[in-house]
Amino acid sequence: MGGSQSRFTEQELEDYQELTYFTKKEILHVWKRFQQLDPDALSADNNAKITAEKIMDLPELKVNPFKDRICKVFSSSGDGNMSFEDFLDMMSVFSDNAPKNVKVEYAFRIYDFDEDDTISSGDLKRVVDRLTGEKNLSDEDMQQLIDNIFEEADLDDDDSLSFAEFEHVISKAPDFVNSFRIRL
Amino acid sequence: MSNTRPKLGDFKISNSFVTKQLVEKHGGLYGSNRPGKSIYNELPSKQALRNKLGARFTRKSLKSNRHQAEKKNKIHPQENGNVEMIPFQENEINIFEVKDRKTQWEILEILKQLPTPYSVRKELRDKLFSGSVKPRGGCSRWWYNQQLQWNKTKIFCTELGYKFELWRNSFKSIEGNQGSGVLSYFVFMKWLFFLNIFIFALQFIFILLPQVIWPTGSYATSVTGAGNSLSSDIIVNTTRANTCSALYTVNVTTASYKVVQDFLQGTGWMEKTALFYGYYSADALDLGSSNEYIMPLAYILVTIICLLVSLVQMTRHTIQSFRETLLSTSTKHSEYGNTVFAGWDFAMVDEKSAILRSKSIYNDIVSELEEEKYKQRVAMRTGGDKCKLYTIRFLINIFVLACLGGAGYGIYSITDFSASFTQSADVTSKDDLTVLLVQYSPSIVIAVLNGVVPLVFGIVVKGEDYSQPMVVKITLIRVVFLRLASLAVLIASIYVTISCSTKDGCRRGTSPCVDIPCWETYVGQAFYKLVIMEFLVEFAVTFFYELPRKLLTTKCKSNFLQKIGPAEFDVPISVLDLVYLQTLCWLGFFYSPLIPTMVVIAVFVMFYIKQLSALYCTVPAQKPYRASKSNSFFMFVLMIAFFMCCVPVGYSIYKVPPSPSCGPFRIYNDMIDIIFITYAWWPTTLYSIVDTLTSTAVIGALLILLILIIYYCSARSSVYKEMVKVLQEQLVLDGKDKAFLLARVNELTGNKGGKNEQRRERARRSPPPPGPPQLKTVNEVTPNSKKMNVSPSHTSEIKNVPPPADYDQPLNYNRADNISDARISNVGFDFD
Repeated sequence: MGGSQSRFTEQELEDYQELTYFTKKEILHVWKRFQQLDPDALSADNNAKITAEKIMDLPELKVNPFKDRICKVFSSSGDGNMSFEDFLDMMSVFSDNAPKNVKVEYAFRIYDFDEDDTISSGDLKRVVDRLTGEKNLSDEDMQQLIDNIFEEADLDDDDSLSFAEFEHVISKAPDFVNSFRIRL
Repeated sequence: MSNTRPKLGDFKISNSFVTKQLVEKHGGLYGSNRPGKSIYNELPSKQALRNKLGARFTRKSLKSNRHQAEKKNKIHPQENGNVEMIPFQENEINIFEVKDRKTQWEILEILKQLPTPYSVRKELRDKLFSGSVKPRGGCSRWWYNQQLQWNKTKIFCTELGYKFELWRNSFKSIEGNQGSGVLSYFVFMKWLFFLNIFIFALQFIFILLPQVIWPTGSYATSVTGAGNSLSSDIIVNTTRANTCSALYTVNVTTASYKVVQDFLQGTGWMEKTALFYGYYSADALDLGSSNEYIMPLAYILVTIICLLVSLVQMTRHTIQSFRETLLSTSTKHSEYGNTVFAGWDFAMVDEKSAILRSKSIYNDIVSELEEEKYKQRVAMRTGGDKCKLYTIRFLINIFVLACLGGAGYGIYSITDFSASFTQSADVTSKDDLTVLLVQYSPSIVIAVLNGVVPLVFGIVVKGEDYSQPMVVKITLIRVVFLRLASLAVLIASIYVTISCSTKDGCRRGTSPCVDIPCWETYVGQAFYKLVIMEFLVEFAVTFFYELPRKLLTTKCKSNFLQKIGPAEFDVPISVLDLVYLQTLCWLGFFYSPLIPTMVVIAVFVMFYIKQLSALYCTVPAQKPYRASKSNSFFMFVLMIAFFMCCVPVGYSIYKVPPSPSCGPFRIYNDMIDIIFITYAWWPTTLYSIVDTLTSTAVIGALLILLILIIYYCSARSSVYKEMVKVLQEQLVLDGKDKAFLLARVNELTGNKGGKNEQRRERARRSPPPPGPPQLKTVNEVTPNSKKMNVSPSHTSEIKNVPPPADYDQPLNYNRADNISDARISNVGFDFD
């Protein structure tokens, strides 16, 4: 703990604590895990970026079907490489203390594969394909599923889910807070 | 054509305002002067309004909606048009006057929620806090400092809690392996563990310790009520208690085999230990220097407090989980959204579990689509089909009731047989093992029934043709009934044995009744055996069924075995086991004060046994258990079990005469008498106050008040349901309005639309900007085409609205574009 603490000034830790949902101890723990991914790059510079491949090696992300989307959404440079601040952001949103609306906002971005700020049927299809893993739904089933989701969620009938509609669906999904969570 | 073009600065972010500006100031859309009729009247929501003629869209309600919307979206155009400032305005924080720490703190809370990268938030914060901070004077500064201290203490406590948090690493590995559904079972187990520790601590400190430490005193007046006129009608018989206690003897054999047997049965050397009720004395313990500790009063008060605390804890827990499920079921239940968007458990770490999770999501989706087909099948049932189905269901329910009845009768007769066998004359000539078996026979029978009958129910329910979630619910309800019914029958049969009518002076049964010198200890022994049995069953199931099955199916190379696979972790049945154990604890702790200790140890050991089962011996179930759905159901079952426990305990305190040979109530005719005696010693004023408060008039008035409050709350909730429907309709109409307007705009701007279409496409495809962005105004843009949003809870950078080059081009065409993209959450559509 002493070793990792000396990498940050008191002011930096204070800032991190103020602007994320972590306490100082948790922040140092996150730092420890982050450092294990690529100690060499980080020994020189605290703010060095780690490549997406290394981030996706993290055990908590490895089996996640959306790991590339997660890296892309939280990376401040938009290409998947994350600095420590991005990583801290990510873990803060996924932590228990983050309120639901923050999680919903990021969930929307993760599921929006083509980044057009709506979840269209193409996006949905890709989400479901990723979820079901090796077994894929038949085309007919997939279409039925997408129709059903749009029927209950798409209130303005434009064949895509805007953020408000997505939020509306999530508010009726009781499992969301429990599943949208990563503990380090 | 109007020549007063609205300037860029006039554009408010409010969606409805834009519409109003467009509509009112231009009398139509961009010069399309349709004589007389304005586009306003063609909007779908206005049409709906006309058609509805309803009270919903009255002028007043719309006006109040508009007020709310304006309040929400209050923006001072001359000050700033930054949409990132919306959350601050929403909370009525003036960011230009960040002068004191309290505002700073509030701003920080909002900043944390901004969905932007960390660097942006830091920039924002630095900019906002760049001014000097004026310290607040006096009272508010002190209050702010208190809050700061409180926050620091809270953080310190949470961090300390992490060090000592029980089983934290176990939870993490279980969640990674099996998912959050199984984790909820272990969380429930931990909750029960702490509840039982509390009960154990109370009983240990207030009942066991005093009895053990201090010597027995005498039957003082505080115990007998002698000399107090108010308690003169309560019969206290100390002489009978003394003689009968002397007559209460137990044969203690010291043969080693007997010792073990007695340990398992609670008889012999165990019977007069602190484990059972009979050990405790009815007198006032002598604490020295003429202080006394009234044992009977302590005993009853501890019981009542434990039950009350359990009730309070359960209610708190139920309300928490009830809120979540109520939110999801009050509106139309959206299964698909839940499966797809909340289906993947992000906490999973193990690869095999992840594969299984994918499979189960696939199965979930397929089965939900099957549901649709099931519903169609149901709708297509003919009259004859329905008749047949209902007859089948009726018969199966009769069969289930017959099963329950048969189980009940079996338990009753076994308990009867066991009691009479143990007390019969020739019991000493029988083999030790036989005696042990007979003593344990009620518990064994209950355990066997609890294991076998649910399987029968599972087979039988297939013939009833219910939908899958309904099948799970019905089977669970039946199993719950079975368990509670078997306990109820056991209690009833014990009661029959105890309240047999032929008794001698010491209230011990003479033939043909079974001679039980101390019936409370007898009851305590029954529950003691049940607890031990339950623990042994759990142990046996894991080590003699799940472990061998796992070893066989993974190590052996047989195809057949591989196909069977290891056992699945069945969460509902495991939770019911825990509920059953807790019910035993509540029923038994009055008669056997150390049962909570046993339950604490049992739960602790069971945690590790179940952890082994979850991590190694079992695999996640095909249909993963959804934590949220059944959490409140299990709390509900626990509550039902709790109230079921209160009935026998309460009845025995009030009505069943205690045995004169043993226990803290041996001198009384009813256990509740000690309360009346103590109460009679109170000062007169207190006495008369309590008397008035418990009189019928006051209680009646309170009941009426309670009924009125319940009625009011239910009326309010039905109004809220109406409100939800109204708002949903409004949402839909808003969306239609937007689509309509966009279509008109498209239609009117013809080929110009093409150019803007291209611009939009380009903007969409470019990557987000690197580096810290500056604070943007409404009219700036970033190539990152995040749409403007009106909702106060999110902010993002806004699209560029270039100044219009020529007059004919629609003003801020992209603004019109933004109409379609503006978040629908602006509900207050301010028509007038």
